[in-house]
Amino acid sequence: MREHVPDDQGMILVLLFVVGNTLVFGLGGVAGPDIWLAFLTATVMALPMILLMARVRSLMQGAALYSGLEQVFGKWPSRGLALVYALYAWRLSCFVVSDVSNFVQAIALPNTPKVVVASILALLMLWAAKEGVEVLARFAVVMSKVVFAVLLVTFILLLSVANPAEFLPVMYDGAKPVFLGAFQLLDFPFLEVVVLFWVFDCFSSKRSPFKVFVPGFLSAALILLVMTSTSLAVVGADRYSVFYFPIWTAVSRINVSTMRLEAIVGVTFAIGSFLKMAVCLLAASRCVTYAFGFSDYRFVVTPLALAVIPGSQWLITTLMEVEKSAIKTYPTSATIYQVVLPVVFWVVAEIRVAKARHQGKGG
Amino acid sequence: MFFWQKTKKNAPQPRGLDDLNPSLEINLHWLKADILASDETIVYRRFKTSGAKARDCVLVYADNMVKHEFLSQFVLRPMMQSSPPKHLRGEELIRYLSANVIESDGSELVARYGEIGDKIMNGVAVLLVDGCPLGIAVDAKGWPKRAVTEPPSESVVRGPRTGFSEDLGVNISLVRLKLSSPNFKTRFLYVGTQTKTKVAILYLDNVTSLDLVEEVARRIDAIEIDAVLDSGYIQEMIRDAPYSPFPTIGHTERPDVAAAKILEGRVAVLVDGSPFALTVPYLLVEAFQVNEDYYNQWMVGSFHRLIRYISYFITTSTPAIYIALISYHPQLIPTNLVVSISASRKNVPFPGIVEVILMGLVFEILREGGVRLPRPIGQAISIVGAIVLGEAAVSASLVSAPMIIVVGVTGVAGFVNPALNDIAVLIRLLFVFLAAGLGLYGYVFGTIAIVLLLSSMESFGVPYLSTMTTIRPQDIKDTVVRVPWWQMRLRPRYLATKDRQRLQRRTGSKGP
Repeated sequence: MREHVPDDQGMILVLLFVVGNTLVFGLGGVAGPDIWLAFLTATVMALPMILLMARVRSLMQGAALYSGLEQVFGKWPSRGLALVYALYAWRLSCFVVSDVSNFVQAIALPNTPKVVVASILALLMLWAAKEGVEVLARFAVVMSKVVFAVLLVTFILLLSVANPAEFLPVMYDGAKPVFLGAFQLLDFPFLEVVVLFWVFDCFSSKRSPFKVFVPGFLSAALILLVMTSTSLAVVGADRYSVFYFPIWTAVSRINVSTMRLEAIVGVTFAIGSFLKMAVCLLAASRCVTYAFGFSDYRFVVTPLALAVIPGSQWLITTLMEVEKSAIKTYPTSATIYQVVLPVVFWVVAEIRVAKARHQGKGG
Repeated sequence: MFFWQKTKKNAPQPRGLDDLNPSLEINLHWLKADILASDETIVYRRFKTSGAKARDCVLVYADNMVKHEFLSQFVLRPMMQSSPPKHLRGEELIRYLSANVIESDGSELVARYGEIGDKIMNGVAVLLVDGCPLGIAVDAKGWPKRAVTEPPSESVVRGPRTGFSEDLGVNISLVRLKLSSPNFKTRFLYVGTQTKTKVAILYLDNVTSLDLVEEVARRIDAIEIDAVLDSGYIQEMIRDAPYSPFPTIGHTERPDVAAAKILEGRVAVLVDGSPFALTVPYLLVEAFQVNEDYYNQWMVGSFHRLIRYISYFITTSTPAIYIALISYHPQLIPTNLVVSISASRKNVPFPGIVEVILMGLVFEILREGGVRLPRPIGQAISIVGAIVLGEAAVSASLVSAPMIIVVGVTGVAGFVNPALNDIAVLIRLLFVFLAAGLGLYGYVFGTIAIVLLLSSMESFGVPYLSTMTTIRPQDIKDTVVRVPWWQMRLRPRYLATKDRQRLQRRTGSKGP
């Protein structure tokens, strides 16, 4: 069955996917006070890749994803690619589940085993993935209103405790930290958008992929830039990279008549993360289904979702490992999935489509 | 006559589909012995026409279902005074009587026993004349009817005072009075193998998608049930998402509400004998919309609507958030409040969740007890519940004082949205258990589950959350707030598929 997502809902889905589980983490801490520059650089660097993904999707001319893929790449290569991305999406889903369960344990429920939270999340995302991308997109729009409201309020309140002097001096250590920070931001979270490529089944028009991916990505980048920079101005550049959850720490500095707000940010983090893990699970299930030639993806969802429970516990066990893997091991593999393969996609797609068009004209 | 003689020996066989016989006596025999057997309310009034060749006639009707005065004045008297030409017989005669003698606007010819039975059960009198294989059905419906009064469940301060009654014809005319346009269409269906209840589908054919009308008709047609006593039967048989507790079909007792929904592109279903009109598709926002929002000034209307949303949040979430805060996140409560809460909880032996469930249960019992009792006793119950039990429970240290406030606020806020109040109890319980186990995060997981359920639901092909899942400005003008009428130029996108224009041009004194 073809699932059709309206452009505005698709855009919000992309936005929340990118903002998703990044809301409490200290992104681009390497850049120090130049974090905003790192964000801008990363956005500029990511934009061509986002455009490229939208272009590949638009070359399929509104066909359903997998029939479009087969037209462009042929049967076996596209199945191989799907399997590779299934692994990537499933692993990402494990990471996000582990992020949330680690976060909840560290912040609120120190005595509750992580696997409890992970299991509840796995069951919820199992349900969400079975409902499909249309339902996820509607869910994203409803939840985005809560997330935006919370972010707006916390941003305004953060401004009262922020110290703009923390951004100075600009580029004291030169351009290197800026680029290091930008590269960190690229593979987590900006270019993870590649997962969404496998989720949208078909679009309403040829221009829709651009209308969905580009504004969604840009607004997410803007939100992250604003929230992260403000948090850095609150906690200070040197301490920003020390905390596991600097945005959360920054919000805990707000006092509204002896009442504190950080749990609300935690709540938006949980919502965004949930959406991200569900999207990843959906992508993984659809890729597996396609790779093995099954007719319906829904029966694959359950085993994959249940596998996420041990996966999230084994792949990453502690918060320190999250930090380590995010900086050291993750970038290398991520580059292949997020940059190399999409570029190959694009080149092949352009050549094939041009050739087909040429033959069409000739014959 | 062979057939007649043969069957006379045996017990009468059902012959509902058989044609009438020319002999009046045979017809009466079959009516009395089979179709209308063992029913002592049926009246067989025998009389003759005047003139040289008097004909034997019988007027058959169900007592108390017809207007006796009407029958005497416009059927019996003219028939008795008439003298039909001698040469007329059979079908010609009956056509002559129908055209020249019977003084009623609602008369038609009937040819089968089964038809006669159905008609008589619905307050129609049937005239049979000797020698004619046809009868004349005269519409003389007249049973006790309730007056058109304001419905008690949807009373308004500002707005029309009319409400539906139990009579389908009256109900249709009430809607038609609001939508006096040739585009207003009505279609009839009959449901119930025993009752053959008349069901009407109402829509505007220049606004509503005909696919929707067909789908509604198809689903109603597919119902095979013995009886339909209220629109509630149909509501449950044709709904989407039957396992979800949220309503996917709207109901109203007010013609103005039904008309407004039809104008937005919905279809209304009226059932004979039920004062509740059904409207489909039904979206979640409708549970928060009240007709007075549109009759009052828009800012006032919007404010009341906001209050409704906030109340629903309060009624579903307060106990869960309270438990999460006192058990897991006391740092989020202002310090003074934490101190006073913990002081009041000092002597209470139970954890928060037990208190919530205990008090919630007491509240629900009091409510259920109060609903079905006569008003004075209901009030006594409320006083006993609220003051005596609440006060006593606190002083006996069974529950803490803040918990009484939480449960009280929760209960009162629930009454603001009657359409969703029953479900609020279930949602509240889910949230309370999750919050007791996982704090605020449990509550968030519960919210995610509820929103996911709502996102996955549809009502007649329209997403249940449709106006909440868009960021197009035009589509959200009538959701959380109600913008001024002059701004609502278009009808809802998902409903009015044919003609979306509501305001023809820039109208209104302040229109931008």
